Amino acid sequence: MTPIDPMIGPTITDQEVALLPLADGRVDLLEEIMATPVLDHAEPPTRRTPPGWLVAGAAAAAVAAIALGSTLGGGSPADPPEPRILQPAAPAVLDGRYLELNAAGWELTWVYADEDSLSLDWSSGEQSLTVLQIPAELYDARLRNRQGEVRPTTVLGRDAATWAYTSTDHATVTEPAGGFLYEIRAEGMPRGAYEDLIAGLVQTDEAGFYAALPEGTLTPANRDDVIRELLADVDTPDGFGLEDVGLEGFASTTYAAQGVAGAVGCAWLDVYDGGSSVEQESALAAFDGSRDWPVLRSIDRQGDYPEIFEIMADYLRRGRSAAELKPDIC
Amino acid sequence: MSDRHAGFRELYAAHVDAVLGYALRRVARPEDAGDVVSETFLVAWRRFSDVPQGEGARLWLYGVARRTLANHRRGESRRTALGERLRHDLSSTVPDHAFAVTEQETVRAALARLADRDREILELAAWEELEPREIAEVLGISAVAVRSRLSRSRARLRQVLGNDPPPAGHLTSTYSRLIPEEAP
Repeated sequence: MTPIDPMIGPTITDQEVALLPLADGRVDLLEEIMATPVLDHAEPPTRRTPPGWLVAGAAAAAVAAIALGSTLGGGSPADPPEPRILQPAAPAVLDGRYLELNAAGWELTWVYADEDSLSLDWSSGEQSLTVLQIPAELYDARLRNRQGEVRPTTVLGRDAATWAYTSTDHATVTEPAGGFLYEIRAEGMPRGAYEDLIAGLVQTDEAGFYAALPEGTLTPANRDDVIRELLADVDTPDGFGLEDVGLEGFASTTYAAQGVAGAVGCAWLDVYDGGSSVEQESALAAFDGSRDWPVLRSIDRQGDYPEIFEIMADYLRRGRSAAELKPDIC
Repeated sequence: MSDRHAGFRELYAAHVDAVLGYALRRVARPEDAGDVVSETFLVAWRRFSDVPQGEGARLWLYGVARRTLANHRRGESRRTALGERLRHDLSSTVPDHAFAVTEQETVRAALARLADRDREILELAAWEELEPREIAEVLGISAVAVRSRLSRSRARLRQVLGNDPPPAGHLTSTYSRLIPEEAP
């Protein structure tokens, strides 16, 4: 928890909830649920392709593979509706929806997507612009409770509503079409500048989109090259390969660096977990030496990620289990 | 009593208030939280063998509640016949102040102006006091992604708080969940 988190105080705490006079309702619900038929079913466990360093490993491979599956693939609760896995934009999501901003001094800084939405961020100094593509069924929710003056506009060829939060903070929601709508936010500029800016939003093709990406952005076209570069001078376990880095689609340089470093760290924890004394020493040595990994040094200013690697060996020497530590870096 | 029955009673007793709190902090009407709790624990009952042991159970339940809530917001929730008493009692006993604008109005309004993905991750950190690895479990993403998104979301919130007075414009979902919806 950071200093800003307590400012986001809850409307009601769990302690206050526990004091609510709901004893009868709680008991009734418990009994009602337990009176419903059980629909247990046996599902085959999800099988994942073993990563290279596990294939190269020996006796501990099976145990490590189970641990890896729970961490990388199935860490979320397993109930019928599948969790929405958020990940860097996949090409399928972007297909036909490439946007470009024609505005001098503005750079695309973020590309992000999940299964039904996509987010593009541009920035210019202290000014920022975010364009979200979200499902059409959220249109009413986006407009509900809107207050203040609303100005009709046209954006990306669609009728839209624009309003201001403040004199320098603006929002626009377009009519839905093709199953999605655009939600636009911009900060740091007066109304006229905002209207000029969003007039520069245009549909583009794949080539145009690629050309606007920040240098170093991981894309489907350069994925392996970027990852190979990020792995330079990084101590990796035997058998570790590009396919063991779970990055697909588009990713900013920082995100890609964290993804690569995390994959390597996770692999070393797998080596340590159930490994021989020699293998465990190799893992400890790798974490000890991680401060010199260029990939971690490149993101040293972006947070505490490199520090986590440095203290990983200390934690392991103090008896913390590899499985316990995996969620910190995997 | 079977192991399943005993285990579920234990699970329910240990976490029902956490799940109810999670729901109450995110719904427009207190009674809607009853629906979320009912559906969440019904899933847990039916898939009891999938529920992790220990603290992981709470995160698993948050994950189910999160998706139940998402369905509820889309109007897709399967309203069960379960929990009528709880729903009724919630509507009459949850104090209004829990849904009133508080002295944190400015922060809440700023929070409401963030993108859904930014707001949700900040709420999980602040309201449920989850660590990044725990948020990762709830959201079904990697801890790496959580750290990245948390850092970015906090920066955005600080930027909004640092630059703006309380807003007069669009108040999005979180804000509307914190105060009763007004008639047009």
